Amino acid sequence: MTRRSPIIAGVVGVAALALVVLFVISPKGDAKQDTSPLLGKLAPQLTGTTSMGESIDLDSYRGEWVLVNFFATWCPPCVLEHPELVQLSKDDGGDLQVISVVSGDSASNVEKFFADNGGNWPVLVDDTGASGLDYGLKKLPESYLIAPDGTVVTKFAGGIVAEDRGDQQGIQSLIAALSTGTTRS
Amino acid sequence: MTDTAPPGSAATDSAFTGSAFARLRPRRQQRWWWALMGVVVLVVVVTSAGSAPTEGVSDDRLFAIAARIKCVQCVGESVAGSSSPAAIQFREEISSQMQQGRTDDEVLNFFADRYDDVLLTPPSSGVGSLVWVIPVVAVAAALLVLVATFRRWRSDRSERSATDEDTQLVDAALQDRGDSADNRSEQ
Repeated sequence: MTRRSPIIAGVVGVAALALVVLFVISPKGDAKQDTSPLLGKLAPQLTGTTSMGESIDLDSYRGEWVLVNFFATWCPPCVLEHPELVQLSKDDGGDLQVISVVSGDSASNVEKFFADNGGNWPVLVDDTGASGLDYGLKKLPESYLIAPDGTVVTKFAGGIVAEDRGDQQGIQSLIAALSTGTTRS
Repeated sequence: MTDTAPPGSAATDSAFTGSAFARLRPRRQQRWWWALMGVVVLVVVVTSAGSAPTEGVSDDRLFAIAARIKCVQCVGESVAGSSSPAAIQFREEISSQMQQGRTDDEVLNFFADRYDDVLLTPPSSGVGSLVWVIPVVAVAAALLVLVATFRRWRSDRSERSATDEDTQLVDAALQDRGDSADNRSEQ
């Protein structure tokens, strides 16, 4: 029995050490920028029509940065995020196009929401939730930044900010960094 | 009514001297245990082999696929077991893809291509692969321990087997007991 004690203690010690190492090296995850299998891939097309009854073709925005924002008028974090999107749509200098996708909501609610809170960009009413499924939507609000070449470069879980705030990077500085870092011919 | 025999009787003598029979019995019992374990394993394998269908359109197949997908709006629930809007939408999508004739893998890949870590099957690389590695290592270690234990038992048994000297001692003791019993009966 006494011969086995050091072996058992050693096994338990190694197992405990392995757990500690696992805990230390396991990814903690960014508070805002999230992982997604879509990153680096062509952005999926958006399904549905706008509140004005028009369809949206993402290919027609090639050459521009596009922020696809999933939201709902009944979602409090989405309401908090809205002024940031309004600022982005005004301050981008023509380089960024915001497109919102609303799920589980009606076109009339969306129109009233924009009339009350400002903003003038295309809003797609995704009745079937197909766009949310194609983008891997988990929880509202979520946004996907699409580069001018049509690939998804960043996924944001939660509300975005237009400018840097605290440790949260703003969309504008992110685009600036990505533009200088990924200068393409 | 008890079935005990008095010391020195033929019954106890035969039990005492029938060591070969006594040695055989545990072995036979071991065989029965191994056979029983084999049957249990076989039953488990056969019952698990009777799994849900992998083609066609059925609720069994739908829920079998859904059980392999994590509910993205829940904690610790699969799409099969959740009633959240996302899980319901996922099940509708699975149903739609089954009707389109997609295979199980194609359906699962559809979700894996869109959602991070959505499949309940752990990854085969990185830290997550430990989920696959640890059980294999544990089983191998357990087998090694079993083999070592059986060997030790066998060597212990051979060390404990009666030598000629032991047999002579036992024979002498039995002889003494028989003599004393005879003396008692004469008295």
